[in-house]
Amino acid sequence: MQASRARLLKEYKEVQREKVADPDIQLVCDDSNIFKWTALVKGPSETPFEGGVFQLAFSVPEQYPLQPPQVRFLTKIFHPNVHFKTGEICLDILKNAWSPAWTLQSVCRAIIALMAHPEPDSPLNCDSGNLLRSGDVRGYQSMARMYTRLAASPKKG
Amino acid sequence: MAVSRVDETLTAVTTSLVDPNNDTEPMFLVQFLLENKKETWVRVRGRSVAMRMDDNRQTPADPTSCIFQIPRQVIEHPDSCCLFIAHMISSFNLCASLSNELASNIADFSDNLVRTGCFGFFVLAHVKMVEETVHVVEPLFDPDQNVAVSTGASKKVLKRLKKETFCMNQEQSNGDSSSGGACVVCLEDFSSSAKLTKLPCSHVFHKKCIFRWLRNSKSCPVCRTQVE
Repeated sequence: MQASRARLLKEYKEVQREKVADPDIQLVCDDSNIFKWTALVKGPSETPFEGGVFQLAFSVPEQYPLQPPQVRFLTKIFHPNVHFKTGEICLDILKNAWSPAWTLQSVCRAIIALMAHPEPDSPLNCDSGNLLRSGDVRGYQSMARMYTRLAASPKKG
Repeated sequence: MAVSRVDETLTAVTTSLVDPNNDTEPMFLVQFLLENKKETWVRVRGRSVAMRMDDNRQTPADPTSCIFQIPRQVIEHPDSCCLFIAHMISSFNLCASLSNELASNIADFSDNLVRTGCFGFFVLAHVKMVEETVHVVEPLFDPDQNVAVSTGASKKVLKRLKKETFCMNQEQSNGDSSSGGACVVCLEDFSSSAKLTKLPCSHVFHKKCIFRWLRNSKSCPVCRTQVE
């Protein structure tokens, strides 16, 4: 069996076992394709993303885990390191700092950490990055909170 | 000065200036601007791409220029116009072939302007005599081998690591407890028969898993310690 497939099956079993362990991440594999995964992550508390649930799409390459998975936000998010239109994420571990020791689950945790600690100096969303770089934390937070409410809040009823 | 390249730019504005000596005649003015430039380039041996190393925003050294008027009767005859311009720029002491070529280009350019029906013109002929210094540097890898720069560990290191390969049961008999657990590349537990490799940082992986990783990387997947 392909190394990537075997490894993803391992991760799948691990996720089933750990489901209760991390209540902030829900990672599910596509029914018909083990190379496609979707995750729901909760916005970290004490950030403008608190209360939101964000959907991530994973596309895993054949060379996984030697190459990183491609991850993007499906939920609109106002964050310096996430492209506002495409959801592309600028995160070193998804690019040149990738290591096979990461798993899809730990990548989700890294993305949650990125949500709480944006890096305004390598922005994919310049508007968001510029607000933080100019020191307008309040402006950044209210924009981010507005989009969390608009796009990431679970619909009631 | 060894000139390696001549850059020539011709620009023009049409004017309605009249000849001060005869106020019904238009004026045909040419400014000839000659500039000596030095450029430093770096080229990798075996590659055609070169990179400019000096600051091209530097002000050029002592440009020399002259402005002259082409008489009405001359401009109507391109051949005489060319000779006239060659004569006017002879004070720059350019070599004959270059001088003729520049004069001919300026004459053609002026002729085209006149044919468009303009009244008078001002032509700026900006000529840069460029002295290029090219430094050739040796490539980091042999371009003839046509191999992309590898980001992986070197052959020497891989060879040394091959000697760090062992089996689980062998390791246990040595009383070393740093292994055990699972390989982070495939997430499989270490079975007693699997061949394992220990990196200098003491992290242990399946031999085949870590060698696949080291083809494109030089660092330990767990702690990022460089293997070389």
